Amino acid sequence: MSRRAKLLLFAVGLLAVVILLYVIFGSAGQNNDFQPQNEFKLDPWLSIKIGGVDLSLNKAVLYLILAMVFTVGTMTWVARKMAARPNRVQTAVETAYELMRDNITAGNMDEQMAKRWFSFIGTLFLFIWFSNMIGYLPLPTATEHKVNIFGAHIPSFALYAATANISVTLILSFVVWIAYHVEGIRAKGFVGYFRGWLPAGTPRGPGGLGYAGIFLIEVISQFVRLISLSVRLFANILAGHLLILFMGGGLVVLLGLAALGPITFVVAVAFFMFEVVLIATLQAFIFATLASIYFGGATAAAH
Amino acid sequence: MVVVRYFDFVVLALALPIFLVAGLPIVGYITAAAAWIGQRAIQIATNRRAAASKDPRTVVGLMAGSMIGRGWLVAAAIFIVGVTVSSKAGLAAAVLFIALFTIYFTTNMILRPFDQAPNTFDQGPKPS
Repeated sequence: MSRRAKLLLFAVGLLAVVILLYVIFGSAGQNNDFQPQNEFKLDPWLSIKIGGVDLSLNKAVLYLILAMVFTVGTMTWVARKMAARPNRVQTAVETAYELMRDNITAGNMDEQMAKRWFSFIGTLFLFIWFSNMIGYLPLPTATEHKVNIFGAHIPSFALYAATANISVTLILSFVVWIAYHVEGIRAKGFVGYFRGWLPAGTPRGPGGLGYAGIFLIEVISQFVRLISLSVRLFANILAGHLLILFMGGGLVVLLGLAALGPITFVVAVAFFMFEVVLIATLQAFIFATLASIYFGGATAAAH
Repeated sequence: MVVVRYFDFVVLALALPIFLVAGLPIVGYITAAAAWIGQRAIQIATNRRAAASKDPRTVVGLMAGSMIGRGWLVAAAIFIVGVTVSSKAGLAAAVLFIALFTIYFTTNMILRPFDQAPNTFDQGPKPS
């Protein structure tokens, strides 16, 4: 049988299963009890409020702590086991180290800056990568739905990622934003740094209007960096989680259509693999690379 | 290392007394255990076939088919038990299965670098 015939047979079989399920179970009607947005709700597990500031422990904090423990623990463990003849783990980590040092950091800034900021950029990459990866592990964090074991109400399993929370990505972006401006001012002086925002050859214009216009555009672009850097990571990870949630059963429950399950489940598996294999690493790489480019741009002589 | 590699089966074994003592539906346990062992067996068999093949299209087809098929197998098993026995049994099976998946996925990520093919560094310096 040809590949095309096999695929056609598969599609027809799948359609037959869907129709059969619809005939047997029909439609249960729209389910208003299931609120998919609650998967991302942050219920305080331990309420802490200091001077009106909410510092409560919730699942986002747990995911951040897990990402920190994995980042520090893994790298410390590998560093302590370093040998002249590397084993497979060391080889894998050395490959990641070279990517962070040579491609992400040194490829976007001068040597002295790369030496100074490599540890920060590398940590950023690893922290975001671990954060993203942990986000694909179902963990018992859904406090909305609990499972009773020995009388203990254990939260049911759910997917969540710290990087699917805008506060986390915004604060990471803010640290980068502040740091590269400080580094730029340190390298060129206060006036020199901001003068560098005007590209060479900018016409002064009547009453300095040309300078003012371009400077204003550059100021806006600097603030937009803060938004784009944080929203890119947050939106990608959140969208991935939402797609997995809806395709993995959310849509079936929401619409009350069990017959949809065999189709949406395939899409969920495909999205899950796509997110784990590609998006988690790609987004960490993009964030770290852009941070590195901003550092390089802020201190480059021509800018 | 073997214990870590098959830690999901250790947890599956440990879950049995918990199900018995806590009075959780044993049908749920049997469903999750059968589905887990079945899908792991299929995974090992397809991985072996994929490793033996030199055609990338065959490898991708086998891996994708295995992943989707295993997902269906498990979902169908849980769904059937949930509908025919009781929703509580289906829920217990689903929770146990997801717990096993979390453990398997975590150990798999930890062990992945150990499973990668050794590069030239592993050979050590050449004797002069």
